[in-house]
Amino acid sequence: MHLTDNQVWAIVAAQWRSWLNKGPKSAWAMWLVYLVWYGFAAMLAWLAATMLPAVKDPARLTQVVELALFGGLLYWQLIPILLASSGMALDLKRLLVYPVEPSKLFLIEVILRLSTGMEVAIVLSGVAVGLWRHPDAPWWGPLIFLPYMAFNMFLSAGIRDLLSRLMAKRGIRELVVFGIVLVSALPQLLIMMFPPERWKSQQVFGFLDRIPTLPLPWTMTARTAVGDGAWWAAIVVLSWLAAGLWFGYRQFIVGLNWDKAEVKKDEPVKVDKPGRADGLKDWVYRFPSRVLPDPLGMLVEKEFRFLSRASRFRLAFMMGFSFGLIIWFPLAFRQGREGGVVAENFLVWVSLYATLILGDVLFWNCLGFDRQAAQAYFVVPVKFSTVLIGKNLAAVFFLLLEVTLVATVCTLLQVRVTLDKVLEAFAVTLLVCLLLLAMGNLASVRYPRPSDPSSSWRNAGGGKSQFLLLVAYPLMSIPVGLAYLARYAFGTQTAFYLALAGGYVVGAITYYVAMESAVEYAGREKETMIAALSKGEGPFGG
Amino acid sequence: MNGEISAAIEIRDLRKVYGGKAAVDGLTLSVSRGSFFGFLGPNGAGKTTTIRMLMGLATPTSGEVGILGMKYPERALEIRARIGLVPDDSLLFDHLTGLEFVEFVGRMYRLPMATAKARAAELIALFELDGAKKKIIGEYSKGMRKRVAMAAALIHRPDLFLLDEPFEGVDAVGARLMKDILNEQVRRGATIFLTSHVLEVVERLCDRVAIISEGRLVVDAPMAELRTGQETLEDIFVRVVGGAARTTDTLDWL
Repeated sequence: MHLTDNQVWAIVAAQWRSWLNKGPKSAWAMWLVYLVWYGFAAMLAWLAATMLPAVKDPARLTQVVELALFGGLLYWQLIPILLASSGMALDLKRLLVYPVEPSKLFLIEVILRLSTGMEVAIVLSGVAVGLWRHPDAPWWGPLIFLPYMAFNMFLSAGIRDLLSRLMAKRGIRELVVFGIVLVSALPQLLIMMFPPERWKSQQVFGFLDRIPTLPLPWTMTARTAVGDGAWWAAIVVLSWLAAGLWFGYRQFIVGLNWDKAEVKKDEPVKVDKPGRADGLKDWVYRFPSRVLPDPLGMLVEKEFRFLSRASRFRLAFMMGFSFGLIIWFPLAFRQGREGGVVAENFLVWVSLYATLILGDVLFWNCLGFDRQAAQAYFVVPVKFSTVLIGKNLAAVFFLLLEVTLVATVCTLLQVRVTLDKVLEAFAVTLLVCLLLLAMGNLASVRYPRPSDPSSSWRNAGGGKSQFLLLVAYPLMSIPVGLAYLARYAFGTQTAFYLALAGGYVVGAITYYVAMESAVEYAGREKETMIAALSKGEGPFGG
Repeated sequence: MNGEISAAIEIRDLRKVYGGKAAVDGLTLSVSRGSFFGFLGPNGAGKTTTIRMLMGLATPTSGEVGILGMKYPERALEIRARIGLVPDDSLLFDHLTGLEFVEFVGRMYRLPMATAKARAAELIALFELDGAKKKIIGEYSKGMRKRVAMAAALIHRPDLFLLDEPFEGVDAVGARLMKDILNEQVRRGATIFLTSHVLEVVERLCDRVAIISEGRLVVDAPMAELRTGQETLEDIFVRVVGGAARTTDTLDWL
């Protein structure tokens, strides 16, 4: 039996071929993004490797390593949840029909968890090198990072499986998001209730010193890594590893036997007797058809119906005004910071954050998000520009609704929201929206990515689109930045709005040019686009 | 299921309930080994749900499923190893070429890499897909996709084929080839469980037919027995599923 006569190898090879078959064209942008992003992680690793040997105090060294490990765990486990982005994962629906042992699929699934924590692996490598260079740390110490990494991968796999199942069911999904929002907000709320300015450092450290050292994974890993002589710390780390394996594998097995189709079919469908709420909903859905001529009216109506039923959009929309407010509110209004830039422009700030969150579903990949219908747009007798305008109008509607919700919640929270500030938030968000639509239309036709709107989680985006995001957001902030600069320089709102009006002119021209280009490209490359939006690429889910 | 040679498929009182509604409702069926079995029903009758349960991908609410004398979930891997599946469209990997996909499937069935490669090349040639060697499946026509799925189902020489609309979109030449291959498989002792809406094909190929409607079995009989009257299979189908009365008379504008 040859090493390559192996199902795991076959799955990995098939995925590799799928990537290669996409052609070298798409690879350059992906590598560039990776280079920038992982280059940043490598820089942190280099800093750790060079600075750690200078830390002479053993207790301090343990603290620093502990902090790095804890930060790594938070990044690995929490960031995918906060971004509703699960990274790469196996497309189990396509693989379960073959006689593959679940343990093999689990192995691949666990390795794929590196896709959400590669940065942590790089930084921890730097910490390991730093410890190896440290005169007092034992050479074998950093080897404990390997089980710690494995523990993180098992934990991440388990959390992903668990959340995927929870988020598939309407009602429970909303509860889970609410729970995550609360948990995320807790540290912020605590800081707001007990501002650090009021802490007395001696009391705080005295309090922290009284807390017994808990056998937490990061504390025990740090102690072993710096070689403080506690052999049992290594045993504890290995026990955490075993617990992580148990949790991850158990969630994976439950997930294998879980039938997503069943959950979807089990959701109640109200058809027979529509209530008053359904009547109102239908009135909202039909509204575009009342004010716009067909086919544009019908296209916008279709977008309203489609988006409001798509799990991923609903999650992003909800996160836009809940996460945005909860994350930024305590930061902006911490005692002593009421006059800060964020506090002064709170509504604008949160609105822009919401725009960012909605970017993937409303702007950057509007055809990939709606890929089932994409082919139909080329066969119905409707101009492609009308299709894009329909999608854009729906995007503007939902974005304005988001800003309205943010403003309403701010008013309820008694944040200083004057009419002037509300107008400013709408004006700034609309300008950014206009530029986003221009670039998003281009990105949607040039780099369409198949995406599943029914899945609350999103996998990593394509390389080119990520590259585009890196370039686009700073570019789009220029007109808004200039408007604020004008207000700062001339000290009047008139200057601000005049500069903003200039931004609108630039935005309108950009939108027009981008639309022409997108339509021309779509007409020329429709086959490529449809092929790119085909159902799935390889054994790893899309 | 206790006999010396068990049936290829033995289903007893199978039920699958979604949201309070039974998609499959008390289905009892036996498909003997070496038979060419047609499993028919109108859209939404429960055919796909039944196939999902036969593959062990959906758990029955109640009832039993036996495949080649084995049961889920204990012997799921052994069962899957002996099934050749031509699924609906969604299980293909669109960014692999046909050859790469068939080789991949062979290796998933634990064929040594060299064997999987060789067989994949032979099957691709047999199904006349070698002209599109460099095309990825995403660029295939519907008929080509079905042909590549059929090639993949054959690579490990299974004992039981579960075929979901295998002839959909396939041209006459391709369909003839597929029928010849399937008949050959039956002659060597394999069992075929076929769902199709092309009733003429079912009538010509199958030796036994079952029809389900709203999750319930309404016909289960040998084809020879069904053919004794004047009715065609289409007539019988329309009669038992109750869809003959609708015409376009009520739509004046049509």
